Amino acid sequence: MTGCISKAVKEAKMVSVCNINEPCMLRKGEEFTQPPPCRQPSAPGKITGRSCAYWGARWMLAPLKDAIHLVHGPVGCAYYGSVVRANAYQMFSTALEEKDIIFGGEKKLTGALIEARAIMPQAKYILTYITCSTALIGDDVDGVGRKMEERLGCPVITVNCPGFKGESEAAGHRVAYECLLNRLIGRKERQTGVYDVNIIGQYNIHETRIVGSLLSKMGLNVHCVFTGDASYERITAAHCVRLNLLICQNTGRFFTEAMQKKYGIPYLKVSFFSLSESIDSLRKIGQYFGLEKEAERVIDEEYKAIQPELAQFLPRLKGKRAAIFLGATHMADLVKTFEDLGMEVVFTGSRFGDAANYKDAWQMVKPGNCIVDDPSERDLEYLLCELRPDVFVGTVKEQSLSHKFGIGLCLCPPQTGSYVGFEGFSNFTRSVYKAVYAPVWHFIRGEMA
Amino acid sequence: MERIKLNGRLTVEDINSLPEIPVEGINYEQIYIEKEPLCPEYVPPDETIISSAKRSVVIDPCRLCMPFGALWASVGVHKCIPFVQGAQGCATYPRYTFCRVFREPVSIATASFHEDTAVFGGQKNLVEGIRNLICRYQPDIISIVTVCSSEIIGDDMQGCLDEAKRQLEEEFGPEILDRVKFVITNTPSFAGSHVEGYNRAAKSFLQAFARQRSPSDKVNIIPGMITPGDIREVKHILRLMGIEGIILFDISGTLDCPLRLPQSMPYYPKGGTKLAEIADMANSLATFALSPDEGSAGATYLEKRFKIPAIIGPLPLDVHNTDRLVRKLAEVTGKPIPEELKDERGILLDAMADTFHYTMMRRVAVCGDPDIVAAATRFVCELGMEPVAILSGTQSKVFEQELKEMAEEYNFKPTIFNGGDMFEWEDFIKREKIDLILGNSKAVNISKEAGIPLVRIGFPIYDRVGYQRRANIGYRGGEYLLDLIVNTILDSKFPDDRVHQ
Repeated sequence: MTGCISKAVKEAKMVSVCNINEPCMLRKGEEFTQPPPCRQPSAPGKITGRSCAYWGARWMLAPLKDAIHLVHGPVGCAYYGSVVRANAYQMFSTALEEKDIIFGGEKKLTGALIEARAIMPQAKYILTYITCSTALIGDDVDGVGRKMEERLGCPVITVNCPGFKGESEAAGHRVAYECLLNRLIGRKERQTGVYDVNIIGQYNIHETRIVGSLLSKMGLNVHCVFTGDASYERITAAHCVRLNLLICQNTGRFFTEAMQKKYGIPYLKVSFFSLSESIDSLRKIGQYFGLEKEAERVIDEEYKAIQPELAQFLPRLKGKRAAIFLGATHMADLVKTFEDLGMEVVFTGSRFGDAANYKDAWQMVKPGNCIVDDPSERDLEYLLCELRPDVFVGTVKEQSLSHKFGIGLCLCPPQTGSYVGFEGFSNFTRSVYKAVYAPVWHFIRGEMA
Repeated sequence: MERIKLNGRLTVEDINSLPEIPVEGINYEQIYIEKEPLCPEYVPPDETIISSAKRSVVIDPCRLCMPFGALWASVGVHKCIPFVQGAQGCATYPRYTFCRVFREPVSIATASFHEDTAVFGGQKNLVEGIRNLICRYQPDIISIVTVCSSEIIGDDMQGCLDEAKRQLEEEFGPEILDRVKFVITNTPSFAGSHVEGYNRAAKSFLQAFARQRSPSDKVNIIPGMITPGDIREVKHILRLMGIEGIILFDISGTLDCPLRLPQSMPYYPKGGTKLAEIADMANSLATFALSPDEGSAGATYLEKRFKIPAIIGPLPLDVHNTDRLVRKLAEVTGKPIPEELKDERGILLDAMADTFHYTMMRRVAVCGDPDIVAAATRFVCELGMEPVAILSGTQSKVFEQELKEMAEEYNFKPTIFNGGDMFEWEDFIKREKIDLILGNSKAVNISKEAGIPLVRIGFPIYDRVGYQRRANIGYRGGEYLLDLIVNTILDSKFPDDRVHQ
């Protein structure tokens, strides 16, 4: 058995002539001893889950509340940018029209900046996003921004994220962190406390709260969370901390490494995405700060709180099979989580993971199970049908597809609450239980028989 | 105690520094406590920049991009896969939006533009992409949709497609071109909104596939961007009247599908307008474009090219317009109006009669796409409500004209925001006294902030389930919408124990 897509390809007509470059799906075993190649551009004609750099940048920067978010491009990008993360964010747009595309949109941008500032005088800074259109017509967005800075009295930061940049949204994540690093961090100074830390790569407000409370129970002081809880004051003084905690290994790694190089701030890789990882991470942090006792106390307290619930659900989940397809880091994190639940992962994959993510995942999965990189919709259909997991962890885009094949989807990130920390692990257990044991699957299978 | 002055004011510090409190005490009038505001005082923005016509920035737009409309149309065709000639995001954002709103899988392929494409153009991507798509999905139709980037780069789409066809023929033999059909829709987002995109797709599909043969006694329906439930209601009316209809872009079979196993692979929904049906549209009795801004281009094309009368709009969401549609259908086909349909009308009227005390003279604000907003405005007028602020996210002449007629007929003076954004509309309704908002999910925050109840209608509605399955149009749809409006008023304007008297 080679890559598990082979059977899929066999069934498809015109196999012999189908030369789609598809090396990204493979089964760990004797034949494949290396993780799949990654960060390749998607082949044209693919129904991919990947998105563009603009999406990546918006995903990262949308939670920044005290900024004006101005999209320099046609109106559609602004509309989509405001619904990213399933939330309604206020968005300003230059809403370019045909004449602006022909004669250039710089004049309109200048006007838009002044008006946006007048409408939101309390904003601390302005983020101007470049889209495909404005990159192609060659507007000097950065030049306009710098010229306007003095008049508007606040930093005007250009987020250079045209949709065609890079191979996926990962390019946008990097651009977003570059903007913060180059234009905001280091603007202000503050007294650095002994237990001050930053959290890098936590974008969800619920998750931010849970991790923050765990750390503050240990006696740490979370200064800034990128970007789930980051005000202008906190970002600008984010270099005044003792340690960076890197949570999202994919999006945040560049940033933490740059902070180490530029400001000498060390970082710790941590994860709060499963029970064992949460415990490990808390111990690691405790060790770093000499707070071992506090860490043990927090672990003990938190574990006791969720124990009754786990005792109820874990026996029923044991031995079930799961599949994962998410952004990047969770590809590996979740394998561990399912291990904690006593479940097996039949395949795991990501949209834009990098080599380090795949190495992590490769170590985690058992031989015989699959790893995929940027699967198309069709690959997912085959994987779901052939491997028939009991639960599939994915995003909204995969939800209806998975349900159409009678497999319950566990939405990640969840619509309410979060999956991190101890409380999150208990939430996750419940979500997986719901997806596996929803009575509706019973009826569907009944029809088949 | 010389520090206490009669009627003089003392600050808290003064009182604390008193050696002793006098026997008669200190009364409230003598104490002065300075309050610190919790947040800075709200300063309304400059009057001059509230109107969207006077500013260059658009805040919270109420419209999507043009390719979205064309994708919506393509999704409504059986075994048709849209191919977005642009960056990955241009396919993923619409997919995400479809999945969120309809809770159905939607396949949209991308040409995957990257930096090199921006330099060398998109021909290579199109040729390779179409080949890959055919190999993997075996679609009947590939609907090529351009976006801002490919339009600015200036790809000659027809030329690229010819090259792609040539290479396909060379590789797979000439029969491949019988199996797969192509249609190109040019939709640069800077030239219009999703409404225009749907309109253009209606024309391009008919241009590509409609072929004249012997005349039939069918009618064509181009529904516009209405929900699967609405389309089912249209079908219901046709069935009652005994008319055979062809519905172009029938999303009721693709965006609201049953869950039955085993599924075909690759997953294709069973429904959608078939290619043969589109071809047959050139032979029908008449074309009904239900939404004047969405689909009228297709109806006009059929009229000019094949002499098929085009009956354009208005959307039959209210009694007046549904009557008009039914009468027109009867007129065109020569079929009588069945008793059952008259009964359905009667039930709606009965519901209206029973509820006018709740609805009359309520002040309403409406927002959304031009066609549905115009129709909904007429419906609330029929309920005796008074439309106050009406926003169409997309600029439309028909919309304005229709509202003017309505205003004269029902004698009210609404403020119309034609092509405006949510910001100016929000500002306006916060200044006015409004009882009810009719709008899509984008209006939720405004409704919460202003404390005005919201009735969800239009597109997109992503924060409720089932709205895509319910019909708002026709008599039965009107019934449902009326119940929704009245129940919302009952919830917000009446005490719980006084409703049934």
